[in-house]
Amino acid sequence: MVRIVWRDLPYMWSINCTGLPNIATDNTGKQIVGAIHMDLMANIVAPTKFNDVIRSVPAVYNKLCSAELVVFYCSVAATRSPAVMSYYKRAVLAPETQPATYNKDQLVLLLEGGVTAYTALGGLPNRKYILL
Amino acid sequence: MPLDATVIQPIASTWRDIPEQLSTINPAKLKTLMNKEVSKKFDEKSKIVFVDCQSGNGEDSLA
Repeated sequence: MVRIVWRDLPYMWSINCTGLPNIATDNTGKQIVGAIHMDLMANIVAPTKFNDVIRSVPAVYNKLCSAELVVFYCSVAATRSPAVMSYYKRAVLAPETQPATYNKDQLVLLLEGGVTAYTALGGLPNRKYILL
Repeated sequence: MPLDATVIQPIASTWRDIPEQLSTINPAKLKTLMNKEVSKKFDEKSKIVFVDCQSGNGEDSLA
């Protein structure tokens, strides 16, 4: 039995007239310039995506690990980005997966409310690839 | 701590499989931080990195 609670509803795929999931509705069309894009449809694939897009790509992993501040976000930052953030924190804190470039003073944060809350602040262009 | 620690607000996990507390940043504080600090601190060395976890490319979601 699948139990759906109210907080999950915004993150589920909507069903279009063909009965197939409309994946595009899971993307707000807004993205912060220069962000690493995970293309994550659901948190169930978060470990695989994290390994494929971040952990297995030294340039990306080292870029993240050496940063002073890392901010994770998705549409509303309730399931997908917290999941990826959790896997990232586990990876960098585990001695066997912690790279030499890891910045121990690094701050890892989740954007509260996701990019939806951020764009709701106003004053931002209504187009893709916004920059703060 | 290189950044203002007051932006950190521990929250309860919204995903039950995540055991640890995740620190969050308020969007308004992030905007302020970026506006004031990017040019001074992060501009040249790219010390701030964003990870976008949305699906697809968003082309169909454009207003």
